[in-house]
Amino acid sequence: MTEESNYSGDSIQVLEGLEAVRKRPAMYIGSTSTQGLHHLVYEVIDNSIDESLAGYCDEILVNIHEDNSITVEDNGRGIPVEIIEKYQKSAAEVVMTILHAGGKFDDKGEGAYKVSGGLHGVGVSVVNALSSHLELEIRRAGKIYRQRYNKGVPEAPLEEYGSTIKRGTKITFWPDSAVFETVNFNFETLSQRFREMAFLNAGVRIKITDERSDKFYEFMYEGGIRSFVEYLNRAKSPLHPAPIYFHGKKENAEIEIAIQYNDGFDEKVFSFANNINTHEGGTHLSGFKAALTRTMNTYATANNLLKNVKIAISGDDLREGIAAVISIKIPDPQFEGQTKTKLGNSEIKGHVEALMNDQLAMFLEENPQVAKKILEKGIEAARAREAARKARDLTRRKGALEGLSLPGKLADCQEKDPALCEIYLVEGDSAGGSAKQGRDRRYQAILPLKGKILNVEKARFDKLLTSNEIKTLITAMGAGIGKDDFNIAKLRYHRIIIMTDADVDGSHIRTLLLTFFFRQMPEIIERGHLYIAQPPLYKVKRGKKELYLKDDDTLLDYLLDTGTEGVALEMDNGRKIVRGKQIIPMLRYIIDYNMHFDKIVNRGIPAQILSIFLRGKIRNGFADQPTLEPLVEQLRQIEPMARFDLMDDPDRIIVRLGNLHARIDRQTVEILSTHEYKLLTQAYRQVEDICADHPVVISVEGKQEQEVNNRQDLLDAILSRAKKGQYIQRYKGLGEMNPDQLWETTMNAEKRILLQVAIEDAVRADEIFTVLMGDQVEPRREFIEMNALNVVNLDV
Amino acid sequence: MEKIIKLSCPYCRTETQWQNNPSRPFCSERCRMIDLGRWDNEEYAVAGEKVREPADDPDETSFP
Repeated sequence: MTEESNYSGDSIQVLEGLEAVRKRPAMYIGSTSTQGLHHLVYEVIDNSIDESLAGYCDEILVNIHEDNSITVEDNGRGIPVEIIEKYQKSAAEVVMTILHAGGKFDDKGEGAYKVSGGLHGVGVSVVNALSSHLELEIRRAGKIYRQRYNKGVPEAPLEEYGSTIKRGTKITFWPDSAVFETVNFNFETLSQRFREMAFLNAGVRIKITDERSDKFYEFMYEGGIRSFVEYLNRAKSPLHPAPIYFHGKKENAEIEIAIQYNDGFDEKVFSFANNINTHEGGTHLSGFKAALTRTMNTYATANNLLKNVKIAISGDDLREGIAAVISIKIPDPQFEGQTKTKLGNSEIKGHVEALMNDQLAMFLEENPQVAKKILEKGIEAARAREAARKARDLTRRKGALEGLSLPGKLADCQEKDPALCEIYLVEGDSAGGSAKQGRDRRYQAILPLKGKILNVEKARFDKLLTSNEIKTLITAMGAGIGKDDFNIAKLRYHRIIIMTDADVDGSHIRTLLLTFFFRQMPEIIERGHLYIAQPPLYKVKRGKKELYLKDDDTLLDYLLDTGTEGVALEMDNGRKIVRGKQIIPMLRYIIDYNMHFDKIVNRGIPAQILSIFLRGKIRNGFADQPTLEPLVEQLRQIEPMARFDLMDDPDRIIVRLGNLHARIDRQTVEILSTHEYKLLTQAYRQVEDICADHPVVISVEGKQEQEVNNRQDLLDAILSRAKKGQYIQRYKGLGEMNPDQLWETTMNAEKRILLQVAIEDAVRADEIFTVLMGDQVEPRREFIEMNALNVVNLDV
Repeated sequence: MEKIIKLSCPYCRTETQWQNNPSRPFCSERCRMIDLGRWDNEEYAVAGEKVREPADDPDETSFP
């Protein structure tokens, strides 16, 4: 574009007059509602965008004035002002007054604009016709021209009234309130459209000011449609940092495509033809979709990414979480469809497809990591689609899941009123057998479930509920599954009690069941129908007295209680006497200390050395020193019996003490900075005085029985006293209990303790489950053992 | 008044809430159905204990 003269009076063709426009405005601008009103602004700004497409304009100002008039001003070449012979009027006046007049209608193909917005093809004359007033100002070739119109009719010919060094066109118009239902412009509506235009025309600056409210926006995107997809992803996490971008020319079509995936599931693909948002898509969009599906699949197959995928990746799968913009610019767009926003040019599909096949394939080859991420997402989408299909099949198998045929494994109860019925979900067949015999068959049903074990990798076994178990469970509940079929009124039991072993496997099955109920039958939890049984872990028998204890903690409580009965401890050479229950806290401190001590020893410090550290109250700080020499100094003072040598290596201390030969290195010293070590030193403070200087004398019922010289012996003495004459049985599983015991401890409604599952607990359990499903093994262990489920305590 | 329980959709992690949500605890029926399909497809397995190898690092406690 070197010659500005191309855009001159000669290239204007005149097609039609304006009379019809005021008679039937909707035919030209769609409607006379708000939409039609805003359409006026788009028509005007389109001319400015055309100038920028041609390379002559880089700034457009839009002002909404207080009286709802609008000024659009650009720094383009200015509308030509030469007199057109045919009309004996200035070119500008022709453009402003005759329908379909404008540079873009020169079909010689050599016209001012090869490509133009051609939004609706009606031109600015329509705006003029539908405005009560319009003021035109043109700065061109050093001069200023102006002209005023009323309802499209000029007051006078175009007049020259000054000189300027600037150039451009400025149009101010007052929409005719006799034509429009409303003349109130919406700032946000206009802004949204201008933002879009700024994206589609990289480098153009559009400023919009609302003088009614002093609102202001400025849009300018150097990145063009690349910035557009980044904007679409602004609230999402992108899968790859930079948008994928292609552009090129095929015959007359200029094609631009930008793609960026995010971690969501929405498909946001926007297509434009000559800056017009083709809401209904069309040939450019079809070409894009076909190329995306084909190229991605070709790449995936060639790179062996589909080897474990049994289902095909569809186009829909590949567009989950995509943000993409396709913008094409062509000389003669054909718009079809209900709202004339569907591109019809048939050759475009092939053009877009060819360009994208080439360039996307190249991109994927050059960016294998991005390719892998996108394809993994597509595969995930394909799996999800398959899962949803299976779920629909499951919910549609009417009858089979509604208790018409109850599963064979279910031992049902005699009672038919759900409010009175209970079902125990029991892990394993042997426990199921005990439960079946031990239950009260009038109102208690038993459903044995087995967790399938999956050997995932060496030395790791995963547990899952089989598809059959899930179906059995749904059938036994009788309430159906899925949005349309689940009916809580059909639930066959109002107490659903999960009864699993008190070990890790048991808690896995429990977690699986809880999660399933929470996700797929949440109403059961909401209505308080879900419970967890508490079978005992220990049976303690002393003479004829039998006692069931639910876990290690309660067993320890019991042992400490019985072990200190009638016991007195003489400490500090008889200066201090502790009796009976008062002894318990001291013993607990010892247990606590032992636990922390063992934890650190497990991390690789020999026990003797750890003891030296504790006695010397050695804290952290040595890890930061250049050598371990200061530590050696301190250790020698604490334990003169030992030899501490710093060998050639200043980071390694060799310790010899009696038979012990050990090494202290940097790693050992770093343990001193850990939280665990801090806890250990705190626990140590509580126990360091016990047996420190004098032995402790244990007497029972006033009779001296034993003298102990250290903490561990003290604890052992008390515990072995507690265990004397007792028979303690640890149940490895429910199956070890005979039916009577199971009834007595866990199923008898008069004695048992059930934990009722509340929604909040289930929410937490689900979060835990999500962690459990993941690969992080450590958090999993902690979760399941510490707080896999905090349930509300409820005596039933 | 009932406390609004906020949670993330178990499938897609979108923030959602328990109350007035027919697809609870999911954000949408789509996510719920995908989840159901995964149960049916036996995709949910709780990772089991890793059997620990006995710690045998002689360098730790003995000196050559």
